[in-house]
Amino acid sequence: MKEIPNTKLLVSLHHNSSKPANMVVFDISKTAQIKEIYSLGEVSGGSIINFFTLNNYIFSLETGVGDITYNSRRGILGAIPLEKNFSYHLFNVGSHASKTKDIVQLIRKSKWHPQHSNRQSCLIHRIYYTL
Amino acid sequence: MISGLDFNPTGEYVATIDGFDMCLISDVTTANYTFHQQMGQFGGGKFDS
Repeated sequence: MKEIPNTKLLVSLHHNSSKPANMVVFDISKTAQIKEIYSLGEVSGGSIINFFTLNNYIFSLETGVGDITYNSRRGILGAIPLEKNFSYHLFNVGSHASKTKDIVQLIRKSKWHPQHSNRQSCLIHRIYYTL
Repeated sequence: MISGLDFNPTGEYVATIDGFDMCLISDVTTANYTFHQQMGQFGGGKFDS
């Protein structure tokens, strides 16, 4: 959970190695009526390795760990990377927008850079030859 | 996997770091690669915000 500075918005980020990721934004300007104003929806993908025993492993389609960041100067928010697909989702946050649906808007899914992707392949090779 | 990301103060660049401590800087507007640096081994991390 993260507060967006200088707004009355809270961002709830869900990242888990066994469930799809999601991001939900709440308007807390009226404490008696906290309102969900945006939900990205479930995001699945990537290739995170889950170990169940020492000898068995599987590849799931979940998003694993993640992070969220906000830049108040540009009103942009980055969150929910997706292994080998997107580095992060980029959102515009316009807290003064007249319509609720315009407050948070997905701008782009930023492309994955290959400098990140080869690392897991190395780990997979190590696991394969260790077992 | 990306374990942390952060914008620079002007919001022009974003840094991402993965579970193997590979830190990469890219342009927010264009999403183009700018720079990357191996920071360590098997640690992963977060950026302060």
